[in-house]
Amino acid sequence: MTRAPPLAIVFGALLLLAASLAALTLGLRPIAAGEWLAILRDGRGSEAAEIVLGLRLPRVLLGAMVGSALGLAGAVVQMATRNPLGDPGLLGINAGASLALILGSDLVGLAGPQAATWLAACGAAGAVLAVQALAGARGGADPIRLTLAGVAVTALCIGIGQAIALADPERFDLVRNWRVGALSGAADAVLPSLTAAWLAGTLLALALAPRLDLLALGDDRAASLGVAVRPTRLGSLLAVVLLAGGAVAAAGPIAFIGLAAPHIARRLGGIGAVAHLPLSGLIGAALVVSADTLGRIATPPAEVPVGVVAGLLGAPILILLARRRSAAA
Amino acid sequence: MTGLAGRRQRLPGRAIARPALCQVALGLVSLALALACLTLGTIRLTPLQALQALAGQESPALQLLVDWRLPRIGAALAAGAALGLSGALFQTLLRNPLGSPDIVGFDAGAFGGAMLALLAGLAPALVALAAFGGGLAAGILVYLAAGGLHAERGRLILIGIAVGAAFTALGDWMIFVAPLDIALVAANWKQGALAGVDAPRLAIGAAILGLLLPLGLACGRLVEALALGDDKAQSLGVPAGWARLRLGLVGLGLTATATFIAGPIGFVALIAPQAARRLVGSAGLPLATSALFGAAFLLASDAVARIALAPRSLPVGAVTACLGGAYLALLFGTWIRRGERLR
Repeated sequence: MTRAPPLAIVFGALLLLAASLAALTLGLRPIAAGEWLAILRDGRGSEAAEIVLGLRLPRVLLGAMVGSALGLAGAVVQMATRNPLGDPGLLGINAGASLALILGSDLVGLAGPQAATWLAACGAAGAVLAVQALAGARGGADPIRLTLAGVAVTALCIGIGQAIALADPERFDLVRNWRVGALSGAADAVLPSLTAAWLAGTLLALALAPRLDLLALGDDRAASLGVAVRPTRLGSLLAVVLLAGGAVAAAGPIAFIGLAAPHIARRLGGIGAVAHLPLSGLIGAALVVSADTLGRIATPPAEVPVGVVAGLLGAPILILLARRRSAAA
Repeated sequence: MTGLAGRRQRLPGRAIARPALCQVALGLVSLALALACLTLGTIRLTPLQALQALAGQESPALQLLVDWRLPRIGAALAAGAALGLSGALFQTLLRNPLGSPDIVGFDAGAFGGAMLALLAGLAPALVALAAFGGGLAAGILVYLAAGGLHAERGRLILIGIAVGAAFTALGDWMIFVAPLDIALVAANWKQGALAGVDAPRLAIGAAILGLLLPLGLACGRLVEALALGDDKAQSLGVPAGWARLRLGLVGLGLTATATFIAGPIGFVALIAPQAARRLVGSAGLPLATSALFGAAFLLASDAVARIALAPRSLPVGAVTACLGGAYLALLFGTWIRRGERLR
C-alpha cells in the first residue's frame, strides 16, 4: 500500500497524534471525554488537567523526541551502510553511549544532564568506529557480520560498564533504573540538551537525504553522479551519533525502534530518502509513545520500562526480517 | 571452513599423538592455575603453605581454602568445561564459528529462567531446573522461528540474537523490579557468580555435569560426521536430524548448568572450541580438548579478575568479555583478509 510521499507523512503524523492522545488519556487515572472538554475549555486548574498537562504531556514529549531520534537514526544508518538490519541497539551504538555515561559519572562526575548528552554522543561515536572496524565495513559490509560485530561490542561495553557499576551499590541502583530504558525520569532536566542534539542530528540527516538516495545505488555509481561518498557517509554517521547519543542519555538504551520504524515507513511510503527519513522519525515517535503507554497500563500500579516493552515487541520484528531475508536470497 | 579443512592436512604419524598431547598439556596448565589460585588473594600463601594446609589438620588456612578458594576453583573448572563443550557442540550444529550459545541467546534464556526462580525464592535445585527450562525455551523459540535446524546459517544466528535480546530485556526487567539486595545478587550473577558460589549450588551443578559431560563427549563421532555435511553423514549411517537434536539438547543442558553454576559468562563457549581446534590442528572441533581449554580459560580469567585491580575483584564476565573482544577482532581480521562472506 504505497502512497504518495506527502500523504504518507500526513498518515505518520496522524499515527503519532493518535498514540499521543492515547498516552495522555490512558493510565492509572483515565481521562474521560467530558474531562478532556473541560481541560480544552478551562486550561489548568482541575485535577485532570494537572495529570494531563503536568505529568503526562512532558513524558509524551520526551518519548516522541527519543522515538523520532531513534527512528531517524535507524533509517540513516540503514541507508548509509546499506544494511537493512541497521539499528542503534543492534549495532552497539546504544551500549557505547551507555558505557561512556557510566565511565563519565564514575571517573569525572560528569553525570549532569547537560554533559550527559555529549558524553553519550562521544561513546556512540566510539562504538560506531569499533563496529565498522570490526566488520571491515568500508563500503557497506555484510549485514550479518555488522550485526555480530554489534553484538560483540555490546557485550564488551555492557561487561565493562556492569563491572564498574557493581563496585558501588548506590551507583548500581541508579544504573539499573536507567539501563532498562525508562521515560519516567525528570523530563525537564534532559530536554534542553536533547533538543539541541536532536535538532542538529535531524537537520544534518535531512540535508544529506538526497545524497543518501544516490548512495543506495552503490559507492561507484554515487561517486560518478557527483556525490562525495566518504564525507556523506561520515556526515550521516555523525547525525546517527548525535541522535542516538541524545536518546540514550535521555531515556537509556532502547533497542529495536531504529530497526522497526524504517521498515514500517518503507511499507507505508515511497523509498525516496526525502520522504523516508521524516516518516521513519514519525513512526519511531509513535512506537516509543505507544510502547511507553503499554508499559504504564500493562501491570498496574507498577510500570514496565519502555526499553523492556521495545525489546519484547521488537524481537519478533527482527525474526520476521531474518525470515524474509532468506526467503528472498 | 572447507578451506581450513583442506589446508590442515595432518601428517599420519602425528594424527593420534597430538590431541592426547594437547589434553595432557591443558590438564597440567589447569592444575598449575588451580595451585596459583589457591595462593592468590588478600591473604597470600606460598604454594607450599597451601599444600601443607590442605594436607594438615584444622587451621585457619585450611578453613580459608576449603570455604572460599576451593569452591571457586571447582566452579570455574566445571563451568568452563561445560561452556567449552557446549560451544563445540553448538558451533558444529550451527556450522558457524560464531554460533555459540552466548551469542545466540541460550544463556540469556537460562539466566532468565534462573532469575525467575531466584525472585520466587526457590531452592537451588529448582533454580537449576528453571535455568534449564529457560535455556530450553530459548532453544525451542529459535528452532520454531527459524523453521528447523536446516535453515541458512546467517538466519539462525539472527533469530538467535533476536531471542537473546528479548530474554535479556526480560532479565533486565527482573533486575529492575527486584528489591535492591536481590537485584545486586542477580546483577553480580549476570557478570559471573564465581565469587558467590556456595557448596550446595556447586554440588548440584557438578552432579548434573557428571551426567552431561560424558553424554556430550560421547557425541564425538556425530560431530565428525556432521562436520562433513548432512549427506556424507547420512551415508556414514548417522541420521543427521537425530544427531542435531541430540547435540542441541546436550548442548542446551551444558549451557544451562554452566549458567546455573557461574552465571551467563560470555565468550568462553565462543573461543574455547576454535582455540582447541587450532591447538589440535583438526578439521572438526575436538570435544574433549574444547572442554579442557574452556576450563583452563575460565580459571585463568578468574585469576586475572582477582588480581587485575586488587584489592577490588572484577566480575569474571568482564575479563572474558575483554578477551572475547580481542578474539573477535582477530577473527574478523582473518575473514577480511580471506574475503570470506557469511552467506
